[in-house]
Order: sequence, then structure tokens, then C-alpha cells
Amino acid sequence: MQDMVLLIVSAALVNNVVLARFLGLCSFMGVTTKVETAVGMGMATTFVITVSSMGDWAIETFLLEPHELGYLRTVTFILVIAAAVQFTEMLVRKVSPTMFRLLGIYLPLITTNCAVLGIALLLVEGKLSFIQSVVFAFASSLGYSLVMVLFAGLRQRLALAEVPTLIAGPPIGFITAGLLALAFMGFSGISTH
Amino acid sequence: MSDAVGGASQTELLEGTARVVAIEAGTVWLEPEPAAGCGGCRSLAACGGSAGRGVLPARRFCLTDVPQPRLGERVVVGIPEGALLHASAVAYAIPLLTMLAAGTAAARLGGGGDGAAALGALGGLAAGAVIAHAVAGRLAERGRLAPRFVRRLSSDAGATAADPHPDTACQRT
Repeated sequence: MQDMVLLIVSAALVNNVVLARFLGLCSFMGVTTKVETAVGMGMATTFVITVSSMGDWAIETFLLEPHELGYLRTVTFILVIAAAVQFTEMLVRKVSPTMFRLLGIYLPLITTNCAVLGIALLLVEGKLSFIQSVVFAFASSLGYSLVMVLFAGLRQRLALAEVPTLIAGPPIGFITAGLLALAFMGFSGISTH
Repeated sequence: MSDAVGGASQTELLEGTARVVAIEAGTVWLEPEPAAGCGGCRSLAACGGSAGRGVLPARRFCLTDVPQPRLGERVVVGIPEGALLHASAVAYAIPLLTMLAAGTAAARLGGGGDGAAALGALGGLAAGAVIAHAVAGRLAERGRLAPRFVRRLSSDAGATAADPHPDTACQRT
């Protein structure tokens, strides 16, 4: 149980996918103008990453590793992610067509989000069991969502602040992201392994 | 130029632009305007998220509250900010949590075996989808997820009518 908690803390905070590994920066800057859109994107990404981690684990365990096909890993995982996005789209459409119209806009973006592929590659590096892989993927994407929401909140406050013209807009956004990354470095003091 | 609609501005709305592509008796079909994939910028040519545009069918939706609709005109539509949070929580959080709970429980009951955990997770995902479907139906019945007309932007006189969405009636569920 303690191992699982450490895995979650490590994946979500210490090795945060955005602020420590610098993955998914496109959506980090693009979809964080409002907290609500950041939550929508974060939850959609969390769902896709967690679902695709099951497929990634199965393909790695039963196909790539036994047959020494590791060189096909990236291509295979991209296909798994695309399939997971398609599956998510179908699922949301079945759950509620109205919700699909609200949430469907985020799904195509996830296919091209490098954080999704990055997490898939990280989880096979760790040689984890099935449930550990799923929990690792879930925790990593939860860390991604947390940072998205935090950053969206900061940007909404920045929109009301008097920012010098020279650094208004994206520059102050990057400065804020840098400060947030520095704050998250505080978590690296937590010993995880 | 803009026609504010009573009630629409009483709650905070997430707004987007759409174009009227078809008008049926009392129902207006709209197509979202192409922005960059994430809506964060207008760099369509360089955006990977927009790569599938033109190949994939456009997502049409319908409204019944557009006053005097004209074919081809651009309108601003909005949804309450809370609707997105509710929809995300129902569509994603419920299936994810049931999947993780069932997967963990199955792993423990199955003595840590990967096969039991995988079957449990898939079962939990299916159960979560059924629960989410029921909750989504209830939310939609209350009209919590419906987009609404906010104001009109401009009119395009040269537009031609498109077929409405082939397999969907303008409904709230």
C-alpha cells in the first residue's frame, strides 16, 4: 500500500509531467485561459492516458517484450493512443450526445499531446505490474490536470492585474509557468525511491 | 450589431462562434467555426490538432432559441461555465474511478494477478459508463448541458443550405 502511495506522489508531484518533465506544454499554454476549459482538457487527458495505459501495458507485456520488438514501441503506442481517443469519443457519445458536443472539442488535441506518449513510454520503462501501470498513468495525468488548473487560475488573476506592456500576454505566462515549476521543485525533497 | 438575449448574460458563459448551416421548422443547425486545435491561437497551418480538419465530419449541433435565423450568419453561442465541469465529472471521472476501484479490488482478490486486475478494470469501466449514462440523462433532462444563443456576429448572404445532421434530432439527451 505504501508503495502505491509513493508511486502516486512521485508521478503526480515529484516528477510532474509538465513542470518536471516539460511534456504537454502546448496544451499547457493553449487551454489554460479559463479554469473550466483547463478542467475539461485535464479530465479528458486523464481519461485517455489511463485507458491507453492498459493497452500499452498489454502490448508491451505480450507482444513487444517477448518478441524483442522494442524498436516498434513508439509507433505502436501512437496507434494505441489514437485508438484510446477514438474509444473515448465513442464512449462519451454513447453516454450523452449533448456531453459529446461539449467535451468532444478536446479529444482530437489529445492525440497530438506528447504528454500522453511520454507517460506511456515512462510506464514501460518502470517494468510495472498491470495495476501499478494504471495507477502510475492515472497519477501522472492527475498531476498534469492539477498543473493545468493551477496555471489557469493564475492566468485568470493575471488578466485582472496591471502587467507592463513589455511582458504582457504570453511572456508573463511563461514567467508564471517558470515560477510554478520552481515551486514544484520543492516536492523533489520528498524521497520516493 | 449584437443582439443580447435576455437571461443569457445572467450567468457566466463559455462562448464560441458558430455558423448557421441549416434551418428547419424552429430548429437551427450550427457548425462550430474552425479555430486552431485548442482555440488558444489562430495558427491553423502549424497546429497538429487541426490536422484532421477537412477529413473528419464537422460536429453540428442545433438550437431552438435563435431569433430570426438566417442561413450563413455567424452567431456566438454559450454554455454555462458549470456545465463543462459537470459534464467532465460525469463523462470522465465516474468511469475512471469505478475502473480504478474495481481493478484494485480485483488485483487484491486475485492475489495480485495481472489478469484478474485487467478484467476487474474493464468491468469497472463498463459499470462506470452505465452509471455515467444514467447521471448524464438526468442532467440533460434538467437542461443543464444545453448550449444557448448569445448574440449574432455577421451575415453571409452567399451561403447555401446544408443537410442537417443525418441521424440526430435536436434533442437534449
